[in-house]
Amino acid sequence: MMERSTIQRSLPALAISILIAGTLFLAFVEIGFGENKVDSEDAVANRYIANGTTETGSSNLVTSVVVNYRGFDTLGEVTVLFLAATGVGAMINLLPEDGKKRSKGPKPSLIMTQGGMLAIPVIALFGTYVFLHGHLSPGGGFQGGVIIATAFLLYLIAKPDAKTSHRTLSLSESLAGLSFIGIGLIGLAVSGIFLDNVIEGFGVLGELVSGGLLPLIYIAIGIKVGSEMSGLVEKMRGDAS
Amino acid sequence: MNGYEWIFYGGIMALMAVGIWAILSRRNLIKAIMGLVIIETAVNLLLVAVGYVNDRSAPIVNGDTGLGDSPVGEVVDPLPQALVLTAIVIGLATTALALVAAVGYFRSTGTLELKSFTYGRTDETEVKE
Amino acid sequence: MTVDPVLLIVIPLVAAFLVPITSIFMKGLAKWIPLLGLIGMAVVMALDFGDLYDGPVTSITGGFGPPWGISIIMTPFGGLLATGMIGVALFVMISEIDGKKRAHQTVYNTMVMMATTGAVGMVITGDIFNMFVFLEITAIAGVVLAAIPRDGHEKGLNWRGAAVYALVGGVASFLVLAGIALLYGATSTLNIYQIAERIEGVDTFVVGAAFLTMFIGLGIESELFPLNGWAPEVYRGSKWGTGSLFSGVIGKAGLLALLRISFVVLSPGLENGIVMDILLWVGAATYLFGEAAAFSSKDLYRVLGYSSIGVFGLLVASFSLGVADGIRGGTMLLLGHMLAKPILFSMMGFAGRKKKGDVPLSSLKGLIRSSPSAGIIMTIGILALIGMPPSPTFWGKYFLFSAAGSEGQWLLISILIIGTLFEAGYLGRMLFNIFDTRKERKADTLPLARGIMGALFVFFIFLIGFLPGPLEDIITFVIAELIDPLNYISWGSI
Repeated sequence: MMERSTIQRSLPALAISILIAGTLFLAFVEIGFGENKVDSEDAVANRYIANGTTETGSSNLVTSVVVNYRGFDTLGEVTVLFLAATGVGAMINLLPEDGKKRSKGPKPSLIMTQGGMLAIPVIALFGTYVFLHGHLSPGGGFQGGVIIATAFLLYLIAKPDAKTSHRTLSLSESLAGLSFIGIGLIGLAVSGIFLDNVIEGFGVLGELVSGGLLPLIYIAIGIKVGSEMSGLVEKMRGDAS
Repeated sequence: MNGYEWIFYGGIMALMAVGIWAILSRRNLIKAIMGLVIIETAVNLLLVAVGYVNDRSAPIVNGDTGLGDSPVGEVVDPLPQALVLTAIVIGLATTALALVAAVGYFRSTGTLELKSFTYGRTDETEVKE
Repeated sequence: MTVDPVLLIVIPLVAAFLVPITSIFMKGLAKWIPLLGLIGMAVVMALDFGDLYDGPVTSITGGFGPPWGISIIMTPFGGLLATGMIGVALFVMISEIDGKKRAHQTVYNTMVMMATTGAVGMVITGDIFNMFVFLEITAIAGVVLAAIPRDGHEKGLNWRGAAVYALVGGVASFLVLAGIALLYGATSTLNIYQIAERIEGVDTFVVGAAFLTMFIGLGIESELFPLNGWAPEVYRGSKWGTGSLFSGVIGKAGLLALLRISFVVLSPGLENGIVMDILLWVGAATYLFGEAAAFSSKDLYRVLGYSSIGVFGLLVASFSLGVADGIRGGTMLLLGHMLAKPILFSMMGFAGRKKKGDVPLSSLKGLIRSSPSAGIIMTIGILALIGMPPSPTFWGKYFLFSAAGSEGQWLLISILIIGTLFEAGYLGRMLFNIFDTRKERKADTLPLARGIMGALFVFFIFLIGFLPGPLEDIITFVIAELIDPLNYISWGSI
């Protein structure tokens, strides 16, 4: 079969993409932008805004939606990340050898090594802060976990030959995932509803200890995401070396 | 109607069109994955845009933001922001897997071009007993 | 007895998170944890199945009822499909117990379980965004499954399938998400039932755009023409179990989501019956395309893959007729396909297990002599797929033809007949090869587990074929769900 030229392929593609995007554009313009829909009683978000703080005890309303009202989604999301980490690891093991030798690249400079070692604890501490305060301020388990993973990445860049414990990573990942489900099962056992925040009134609104089970879930997510993302980075390094 | 929807939705849909076009017209896997990432970004922006309400602040209630415990009429819709969080994570997972698969394809075939993308009829390998 | 249906999701998740721990401490055990997870799902499903005769089984999560929290509403249609999916997954996993060591068995089993969990989640959830999350779980597990090659396979085709599916599946899911954003903007809710309730007040153009995105996204997942270019690539390069999962679990979940979103949610907001018409003819075209492509393919994995595509088209067409008999026929065809296709994939995978590349038709030659049990099981599977009485497919085609006849859809009937002829052509070729004993073949024993699972599915084929009666009560609910959105909406307000 003859290979079609780029233009021949591009034009129908252009037509299709403009058709889809154009239809969506007109539909969204019809819906409107920035219009007030949340104040109506019909909007589900109305309840989140009006009662979110009292019903979940979290002062960050996004957190109250992510972890409590729609906590089941978040469990699914954690699972997606888990599958991606497991899958990437497995697929990297499956990769065929291409027989090419890769050069190691230059050694990290003194500034890189020493500066990295200085920055890593600070970054990790900041990540922990972000997921501990997920119910109070912007951020949360996912963001905090990713920040912690950047510390891990920095460590691998600063010390390319360092040995990392794959075992510890997958152990903490699994345990964090199990504790998320465990917290959900507390709800199932106490009130018969999975992921029910059974002690939502616990603590004072706006303080660190508040929000009932929400901070606990976000800690579990933070640890899980942190170890998963670190694991991803580590697996990709394992392939390159 | 204040004209903003033309700017926001127009920009987002332009991104979307670029992404779809890239996937449909490029046979190079890496370029196609770039198209996928552009589509992901467009949809994430779209979700945030859907939840925006003019002249309102972020849905966080604490001493610094000066909002009451029940900030009806003062904050934007928190739900799409929660959805975007999920969508970002999912986009990351999809991209990571697609990239690893592209590496595998490259190593086993020596090329990143997906030839005869349609229906896998051509490049039919001779079946031997 | 009612068990909380949320356990259908929670149990496999616990199992999945246990896998890494187990592989550190007890390496040999890790690959069987997913099997335990699936058995747990099967037990929950078995306990809840009786309740489906009285209507949907429901549950809420997060402590808030619908529409604020995410509700789980296992309608009888969803429950029936979920049962079949769990069955197919168990078939795939148990069939590989033969004492042989395989590389990557742990990951493979985990992904089989997670693909099934995602698919079950998609059909039982009552929240449209939650459906998207489960769609993604399925898709990601599907990419990893597509990347795992067959034993001894050398061509690297698995990577091609995985890369194509990762790309196309990614586009599909983000288009679905754009549609969800549109529906949320228009109705201010994510609960499927509430969206269905409010859709009539939404501008027709907006509903049409939402249908466009959902149709492309979910049509890709359920392998509809012309959105199925990726599917043969996946079937061609992956294990037989992956093929069974894509045709019996992953695609079926996309199919139910497509039917539910189009008929129940979006159709009332559009011009009368236009959604049905579009899906009917897309389904018919898919059927014709799939069967013709299967007829002209040489590699058995692709023959079965194209044949699955054809069946997806047939299913969409029969559900879209919009009459009770069409839906009755569609449900029977669905069950028949879920029982027969895994058998074919399994026995074909057994017969062609020594091939390093594509598996030609001739590798079935003399199967009845070299391995009589495999030959018999495969023969029954083939006959059940064509629709020999008594098999579920026979009842399905019977109801479908009578529905199409009573609606006066003569073009559809002629497409069905042509497609069936193609089907009989390639399946007949397979039968001739199985019974072709002119050349002496080395004896070949079917592994015990594979034989038992095959015999079990053959038993189910006969059971449903001879006694389709007990299913009628559930099918009544399926008809109620798809024909009148009001039934569905009332189920959603727990």
